[in-house]
Amino acid sequence: MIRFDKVNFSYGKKEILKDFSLNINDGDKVCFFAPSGFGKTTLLRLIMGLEKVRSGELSGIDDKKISVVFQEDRLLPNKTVLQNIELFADTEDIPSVIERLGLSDAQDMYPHALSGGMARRTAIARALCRQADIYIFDEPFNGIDQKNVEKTAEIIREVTRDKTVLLVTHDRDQAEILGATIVDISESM
Amino acid sequence: MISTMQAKFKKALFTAGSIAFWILLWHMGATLANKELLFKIPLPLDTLREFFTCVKTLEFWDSVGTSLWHIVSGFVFAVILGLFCGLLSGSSTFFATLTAPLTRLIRAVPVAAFIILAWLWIPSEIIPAFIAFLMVFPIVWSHVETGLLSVDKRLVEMARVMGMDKKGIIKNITIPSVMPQFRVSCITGLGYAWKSGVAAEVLCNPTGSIGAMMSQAKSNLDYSRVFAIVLMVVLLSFILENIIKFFWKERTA
Repeated sequence: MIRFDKVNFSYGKKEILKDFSLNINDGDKVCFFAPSGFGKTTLLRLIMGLEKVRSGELSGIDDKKISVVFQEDRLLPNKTVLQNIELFADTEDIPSVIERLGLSDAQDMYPHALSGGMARRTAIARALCRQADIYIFDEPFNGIDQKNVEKTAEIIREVTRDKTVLLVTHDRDQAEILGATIVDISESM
Repeated sequence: MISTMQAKFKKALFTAGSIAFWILLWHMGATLANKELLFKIPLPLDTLREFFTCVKTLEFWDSVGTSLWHIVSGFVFAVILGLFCGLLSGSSTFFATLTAPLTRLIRAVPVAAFIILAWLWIPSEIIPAFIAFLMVFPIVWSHVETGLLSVDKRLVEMARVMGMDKKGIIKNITIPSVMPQFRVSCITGLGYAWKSGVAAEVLCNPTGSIGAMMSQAKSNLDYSRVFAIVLMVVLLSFILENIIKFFWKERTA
């Protein structure tokens, strides 16, 4: 269980999280919802160990394997789509994930040649091909056209079935299609 | 395929045309200057004739070999040390701050001043290598440092979260980011090494070098020979640069 216990966090003098408490059970699907600047991405960064809490306690993440789709695609520019996925993969399902995400024809292409939607799907494929305990998705459907959102969501749901999923999105519908419970963090502070 | 070949042919034609234009201008200028007795300039054909006379002699190739040794050894040493210092200052603010005045000084002092200074303490045989080293060293250093500082931190974050170890991050993110800068610094540096190394040879006259040969030709007022040697220096610089480019191609993504 991931447990935030009266966690405080600030960037310089700007207070982001104040006495924030939340419990997330293993296998939960949670969508952090709040207006901009309320620390949704900060929460994810704390869980990923990219930021440290200033005070309070964050537990349950130390021995957890995490896979992530950041708000930006963060693809390695000198690697092809396939290489970007393989580099972090520990599953044999790569060809199937690539095919289902409609990346078969693009697997030998470099990131600069990809459309926004393809790059996003590559980032998702990379995350899904890593067997993790916690899957983190920050605005995962950015740049993906509506036609592909449902298809992509279906694969995400399938791969992350028994896993903890943490999601940040501005779109409640997207949280719904991923089967995530919405947690309004502005109310938790 | 055909259009690429056509484009290449067109480019080669333009290059040949522009070279021909400048040679023609040289010929006209030299003819005019020699006729009006303004100053002596050898004609392109005389230069070429002298060039072929030179390349037939063993002494000439001996000098070429000596100069190559001077310049390439200075260059190689600068690349190794520049790479090391660049990596250090790119990863340590303390080292970068500590060494900043030194690199600024090396960049600010004119080559000729360095040659004269070096002449005070160093044997003339070593000066060209030392000068080539001094010119290339800060270039490689700063390029490697820039490359290291431009590593995308967001990619490193992603790789860390996704379980990549330090070795993997260096191999897959850091090196690909530094390599293009390092490559450019080597190619640019080689040009500088040639220019400064030959300049040092001309001033210090180390025995049996291209610079010394040029200096002697100048003393004998042998204009065609001076021009022929300059032509050889340009050719060698061009060949060396293209050898690097051929064997060390830019990996385009």
